[in-house]
Amino acid sequence: MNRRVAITGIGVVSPIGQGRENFFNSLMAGRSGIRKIEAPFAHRLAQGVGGQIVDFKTEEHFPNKLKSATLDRFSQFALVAAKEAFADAGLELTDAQKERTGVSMGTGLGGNVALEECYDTLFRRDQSRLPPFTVIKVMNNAASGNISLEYSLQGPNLTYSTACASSGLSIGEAYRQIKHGYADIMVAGGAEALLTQGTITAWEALRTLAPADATDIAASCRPFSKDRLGLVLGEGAGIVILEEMDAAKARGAKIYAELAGYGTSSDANHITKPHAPGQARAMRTALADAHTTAGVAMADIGHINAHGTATQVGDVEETSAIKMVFGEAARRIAVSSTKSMHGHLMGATGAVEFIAAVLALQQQAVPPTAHLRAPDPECDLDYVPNIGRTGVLLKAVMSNSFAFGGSNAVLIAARV
Amino acid sequence: MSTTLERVQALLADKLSLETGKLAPEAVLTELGVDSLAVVEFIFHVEDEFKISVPDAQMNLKTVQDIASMVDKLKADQSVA
Repeated sequence: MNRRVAITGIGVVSPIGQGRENFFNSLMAGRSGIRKIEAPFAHRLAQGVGGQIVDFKTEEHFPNKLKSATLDRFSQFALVAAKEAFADAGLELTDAQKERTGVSMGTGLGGNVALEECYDTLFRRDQSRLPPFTVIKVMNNAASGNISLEYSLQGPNLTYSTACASSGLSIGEAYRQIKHGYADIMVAGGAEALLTQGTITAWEALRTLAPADATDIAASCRPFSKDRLGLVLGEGAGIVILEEMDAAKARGAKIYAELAGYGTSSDANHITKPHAPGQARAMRTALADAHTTAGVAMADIGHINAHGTATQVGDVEETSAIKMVFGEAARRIAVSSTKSMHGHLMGATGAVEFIAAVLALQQQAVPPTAHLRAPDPECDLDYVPNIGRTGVLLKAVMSNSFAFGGSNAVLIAARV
Repeated sequence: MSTTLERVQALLADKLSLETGKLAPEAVLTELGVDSLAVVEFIFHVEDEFKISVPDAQMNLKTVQDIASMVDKLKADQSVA
């Protein structure tokens, strides 16, 4: 079975705004949400800079304390994004449809906040008693499980944990569930909340985090810039509603785009170092899929939301991979790294960036790569430096997610 | 000084976001939406509130009064001082 897949709903919780409109407006304005991390442990951090969400109020979204007590911060983000996406799609599911609707989520560390609180109680405060909901808050599939529960979705209930590619993969695999007939509707995306002392400090130890920029902390993450100094961790969630195309059209749904292609590959090269040939394989697989599925030609790709983490090695490898795949034509593609503004949302980043690409396609507007002060000679594509572009003719867009562990996920969306 | 029952009722209203008016002594926990998982969560707060330790064997609680009675019994058993 080879069915086509429509994107009919979008929800976002991000460091640059709650909701898809605030999110995309911030992107187009080049507005960064990267800031000094506010936390009791902030004085212990070497860098202390992150894409921290400071305007998310748990009690506003979850007034019932029994409910909120079961939800780690990452599940809260996921449920809020799912609510927005459902409302946006205007779906009212029958009982039969609920049995054919599933969830596919990505996360790197799941309930990291609850896990750290548990360790704090045991190890630092030397106590032996933990809140009963610790297990169900911490588990990696808590977000997908809670979404399934909230909307009574009884089809596949999946969670992918492939580090930075988690939610590129979760959306791609959700697409395949519909394409190959295992489900008719999928709620797909990712959620992450890992700005905890343990996780940030562990990342600092790996020496991949950018220091706080001395003059403008919001400009600490500078993908493709010669003076880039590393990635900045962030938190949030992104959710898309995927539907079988004919059914979406039949119900008169607003269709953002077609999810036209998906490719995944493994570098099988190094546990952390990105590898252009592996990335290129994922891009080529996605392009071949988009061509077969929706007739998308390579020349139709006008915009790539890059993985673009702002590490020295990563940005050069991705640039190289794009050139391997597109050849000379790579130079006419607008390549943006929106991580310059929202940071690296780890397990949520693939979803949030795919959403950025889909909204760019829908609005024919390309967000910039912010803080691109001085181009790196080894990064020689059009990175849309500092200023977004409107009135751009886009037929199809690509979103790249490349992970530690070697997992690569590439998604392609095309105009309907 | 509030009775144990009143303190249990207040704690149920606060920690589980339940309406005070529905928390009669004979009210059945499952009918209040307090399932077995929620009972486990609530007992955690009961232990804090009353400075007692609730053994796993005590978890067969059906009504609001059952919780208050359990608390009184455990307080008597555990108040060595």
